[in-house]
Amino acid sequence: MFAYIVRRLALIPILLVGVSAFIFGMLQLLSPWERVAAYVSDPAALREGRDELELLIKKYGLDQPIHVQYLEWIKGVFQGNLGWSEAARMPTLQAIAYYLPASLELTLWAAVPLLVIGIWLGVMSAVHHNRWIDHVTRFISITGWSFPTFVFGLVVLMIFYGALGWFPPGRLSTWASLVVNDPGQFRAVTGMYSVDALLNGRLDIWADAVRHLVLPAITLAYLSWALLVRVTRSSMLETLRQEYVQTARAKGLSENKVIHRHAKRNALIPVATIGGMMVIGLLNGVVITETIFNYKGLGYWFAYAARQLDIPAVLGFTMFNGVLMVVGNLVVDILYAVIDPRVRLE
Amino acid sequence: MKTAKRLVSNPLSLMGLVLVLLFVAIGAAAPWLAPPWQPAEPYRIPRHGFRAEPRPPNWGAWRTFPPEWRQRPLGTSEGQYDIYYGIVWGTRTAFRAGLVITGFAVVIGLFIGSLAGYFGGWLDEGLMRVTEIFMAFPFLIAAIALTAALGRGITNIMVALIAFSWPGYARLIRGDILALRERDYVLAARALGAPHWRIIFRHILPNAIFPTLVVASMDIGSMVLSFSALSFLGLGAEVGYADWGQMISFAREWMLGTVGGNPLQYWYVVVFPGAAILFFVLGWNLIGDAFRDIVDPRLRRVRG
Repeated sequence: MFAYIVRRLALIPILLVGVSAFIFGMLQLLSPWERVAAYVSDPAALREGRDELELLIKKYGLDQPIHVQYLEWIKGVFQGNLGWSEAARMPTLQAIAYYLPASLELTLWAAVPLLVIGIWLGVMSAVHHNRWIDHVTRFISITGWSFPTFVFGLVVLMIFYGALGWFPPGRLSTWASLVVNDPGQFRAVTGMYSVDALLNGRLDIWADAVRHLVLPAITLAYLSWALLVRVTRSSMLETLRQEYVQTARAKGLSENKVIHRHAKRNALIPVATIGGMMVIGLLNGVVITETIFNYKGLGYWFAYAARQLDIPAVLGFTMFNGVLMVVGNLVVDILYAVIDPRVRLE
Repeated sequence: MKTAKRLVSNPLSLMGLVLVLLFVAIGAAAPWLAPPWQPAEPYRIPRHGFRAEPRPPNWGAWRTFPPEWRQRPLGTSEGQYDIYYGIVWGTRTAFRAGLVITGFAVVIGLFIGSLAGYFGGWLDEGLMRVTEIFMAFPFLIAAIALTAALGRGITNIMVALIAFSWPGYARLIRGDILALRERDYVLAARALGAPHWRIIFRHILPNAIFPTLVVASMDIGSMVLSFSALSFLGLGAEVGYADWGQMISFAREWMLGTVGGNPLQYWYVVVFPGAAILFFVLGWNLIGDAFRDIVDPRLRRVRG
């Protein structure tokens, strides 16, 4: 298993160089004039004429042949330099570090209830096959699979903020962000407000942060949730028909024990195979969810950067996601081997 | 024939079929349902003036069918773009996106997958590494990055989605071809001296293509979803093009109503285009689901 993990990790740089070369090549379809727009910070300063732009093109090497630019860029990457993100007005690597806690917080708030409730509902739906809980679950999972995240998010925002005023968009209310950004009153540890608030003993800030997290977390979880419930349900249905489940019942075990000790454990093995898909779903979903809720995290920044043709940011974030996904898939594979002793990683 | 019968007999897949046929009808009858204002540019949504604030549906317009878009049958969006007109012509955009993206992705996937599976060796090894590179990134994020690089526009969104969806089909068809390559009838064709292209296209592909086509049919719905998501994020066509994703992005500023007004007063700006996407995708997904059950008998048993 150790050799397997090392081999998988060794593949990461190869994958990253391949895709970065691909996207970088595509960027060359733009002329240096178009690409340089991403580096202009103050259009008013450019009134002198085109000389200034020429200087910028020279400065960033945009008139060099493709392979020179690419090598220049890759060299920078190894030194931790992913270029200047005009959308964030800071270096790309720093921008990723700056926005990461917000997205991580959102993803955790989405993923934990997603797993707990999703698996529970899937199991219940199979145990009470063709009863009302099964029908409701199936309806939710079929529509969830077809419901565009951005429509779901907007409708939820319209109802729970517009009409009821319960859960506002953004990350914090104005009063709370004043407190959080004041080092005298609030010590930032993780950058995740719902965690930092507890560490600072500020329950009012915690409540405000959670209030802002509820809607985006539900929106982010919804799609993966539909998939999880569906797979858990059909896997559990199949397991309940196995003979060893009959045997367990015949032994006189309580139904509770049969379901949770005997059937559920085996039913969850196929569920682990969709773990990789759920990682992708969450990474993709962050972009749209954060854009809808004005939740200033990685996804919000990325969507904004893509619209502004902020190329260093787009490339840097895509790389970052590549690393996340390769590592995520590796973790899923290892977990799979841990829960199913029949699987041997080689 | 048997497949068609199964599709009709299951209520869920029947519903999917009805939904998709309904959209086919809307798309086909678009010139009759909403006669273009400028015949040269039917996809340009007409505007009822230039005020920013959306205007509510005029239900009276539905007394005649088809309703006259000039009477605002489903209201207007931000900037007075007509919602009814946009939904009707947006149906064509959705079909074009779904079919073109999946079509091209399948063709490229078939080509690359056949090469890899049939010839094997270093070619197989190399091509599979390439597919891994393409699949190493979250689909939507990779597509957004490529669209940003190519420049916004519907064609570029489609190119980006094709670029990151063909590897799935290539791997699928490769696996199926590997299983067939050593069959007796293939060996017989080779012994008779048939050229490689003939063996691939006449002998192997017809026997290996079906699972790929089923997966492709299941993907059309989610392709349209991704396409609208990119449009929604502002990477799509110029403002005012009949495209559902973009129509929903118009709604963003109006979701909460105006200060002091009824918060739900602009519901029609998101509900109508949103319902169009939802039902379109739902229709395809229901059909795809049924297809999978029919093709994979193991799953049918589970359904119970």
